[in-house]
Amino acid sequence: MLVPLLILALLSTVGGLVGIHNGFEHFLAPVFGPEFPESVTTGSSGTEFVLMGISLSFAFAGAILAYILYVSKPYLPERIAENLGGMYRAVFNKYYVDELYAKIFVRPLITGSTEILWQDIDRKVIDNTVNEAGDGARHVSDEVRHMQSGNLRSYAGWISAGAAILIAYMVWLGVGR
Amino acid sequence: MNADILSPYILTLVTFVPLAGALLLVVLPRRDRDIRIFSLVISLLTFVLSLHLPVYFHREHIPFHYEINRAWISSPNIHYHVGIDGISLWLIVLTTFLTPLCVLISWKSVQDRVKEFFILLLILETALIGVFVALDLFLFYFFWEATLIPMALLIGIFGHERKVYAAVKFFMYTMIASVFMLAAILWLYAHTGSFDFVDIRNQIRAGGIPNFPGAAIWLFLGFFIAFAVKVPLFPFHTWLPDAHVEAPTAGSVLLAGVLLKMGTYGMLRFNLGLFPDQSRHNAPWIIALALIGIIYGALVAMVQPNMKKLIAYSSVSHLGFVVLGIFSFTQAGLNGAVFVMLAHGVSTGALFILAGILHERRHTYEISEFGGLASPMPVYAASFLFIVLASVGLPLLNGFIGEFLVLNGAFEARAVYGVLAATGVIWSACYLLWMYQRVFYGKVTHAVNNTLPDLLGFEKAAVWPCAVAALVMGVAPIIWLAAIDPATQSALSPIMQMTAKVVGQ
Repeated sequence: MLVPLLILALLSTVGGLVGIHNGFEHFLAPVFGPEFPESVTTGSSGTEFVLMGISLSFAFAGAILAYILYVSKPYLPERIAENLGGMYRAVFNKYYVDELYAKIFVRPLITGSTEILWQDIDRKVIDNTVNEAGDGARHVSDEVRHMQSGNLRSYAGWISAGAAILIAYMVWLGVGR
Repeated sequence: MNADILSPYILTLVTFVPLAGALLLVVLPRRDRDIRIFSLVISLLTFVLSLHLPVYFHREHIPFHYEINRAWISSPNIHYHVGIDGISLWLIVLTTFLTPLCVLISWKSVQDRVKEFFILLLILETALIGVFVALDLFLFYFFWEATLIPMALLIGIFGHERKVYAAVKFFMYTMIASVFMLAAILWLYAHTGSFDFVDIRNQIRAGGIPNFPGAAIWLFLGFFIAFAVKVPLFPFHTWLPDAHVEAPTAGSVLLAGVLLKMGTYGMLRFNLGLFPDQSRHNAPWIIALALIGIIYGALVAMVQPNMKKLIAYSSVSHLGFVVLGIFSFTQAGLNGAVFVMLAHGVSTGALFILAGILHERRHTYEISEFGGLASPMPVYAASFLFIVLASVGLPLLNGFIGEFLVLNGAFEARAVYGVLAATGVIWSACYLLWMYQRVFYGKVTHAVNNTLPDLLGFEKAAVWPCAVAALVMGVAPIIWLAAIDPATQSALSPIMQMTAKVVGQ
């Protein structure tokens, strides 16, 4: 794990040094062409070195702090954590952003999708309507099939009933008038 | 040798070679191994033959290529009229591409009634190809209904626990919806004296059909309801999860991969082709249903405990994209719709194959039964991830191209359509990657899963072609779009002319 880190450290040093005196500024000029507005450079190279020094000193301070906390006095972090209490826990848990996100977005979405969309709408409303239509057709047919009893006398009855309805309909239409 | 001499017969060959294979299977003795090999050979032969179609396809053949038009029945006037354009071309190749994979994936999983299984599979292939080549409405309806029988039997005989319930529901639901289309077809025949698609379209454009303006909306709806149930468009989708969960793997692959596309293909060919006016008037509510389908399907997919049900609901979401693309009436939208059909066929077909492989080992699709599978099955896990990413729409894979084009078209039609549909891309990442995480990452939670064997040779042969296709389609979509584009352009032109007329007034 150390070797890749060393390579990356070396590369980032090179990358930073390239930027001194705006050595990189015109690198993309041939791509964008002359119509791309020139960036305005403010501050002298003195400001540049001061800014560099500040950021470097922060980095070194961090490194020294890490050395103290984890190498020379490893009992310190635990004591700091105890003294800071709630603040430490908040930072440790990333300010509870994940928990908040889960509570506000993820869980309502999942329970809503499961209970309302899937169970209620999909199964109870849509699918039930489909299945009820099928069952309804079956029940109606089940009743109607009793007409086909094989009993000739009842067939004769149905025929005369049908004929009566037909004649009534034709009379109502006024056929032959 | 110049293979172009095949061109006058090629569509008949591609359509009926699987059927001929099925008929030969009937007389073959019941030696299961031979039957499997024979079916594989037949399906591969069909695939090779179907490659003739894109190789010798000329964009100049407008509107249809490889046409055959012979009188079949003189009264009523039914013709054997077949022909393809850039839209049906790739759907046929998709069908012939997926069928050999279906044979492979059924190699071990089907042990009972092997002969019947492969006979049904090959008959189904002929029916599916027939739907895409038919240019005679009667012939189209014939093939359309002919797909139902082998598919219902595949589910009902070779499916899982509630197979009969699922088979009957699938059959009745899609059959009843198709009857409305039959009524519309018969009305058209009664008033034009023809079942021929091109002939009827020309008569409608010329405007000489009596009573047509009043009947147009009912004819449009008659066709539309049959297609909407097949797609399935929200809220006609509830047969799909049941059918998928119960179907054998090969059935699921062809159901999701090809059968659903019959619906969107029908919308594109018949609703747009015959009733451009009605298509435009009815687009707003159809688009609304498509958008609901995209979001609703994805949200319901997200919370499914069953892997196959999850993929089934994801199909509702993806097919919503197709319908949205079609009814956006933009060039990009239509191209995207056709491309999503193909991409979904490949990636969802592969997802069902992968789910089937897991079912072979554990006899369950419950996500909670798995976890940490990446350690015992690394090759399987990597293949699965590849297909999941293709389905999610990762750039350079096939899902991205289609969805991007559809979103592009939707934005062009109305920005809010694009915005709502774009959330579907996020949801698809949610449900698929979450499912992937629960199945493959973490520690192995069930001890049995530690000893699961990785992908076997024939399983690799079934999955990897899909992965390759997903990659090639994502890197070089122009191979497909070059044929699709002119076809969608001509599908769109009557609507464009109409819009121009309306705007002109």
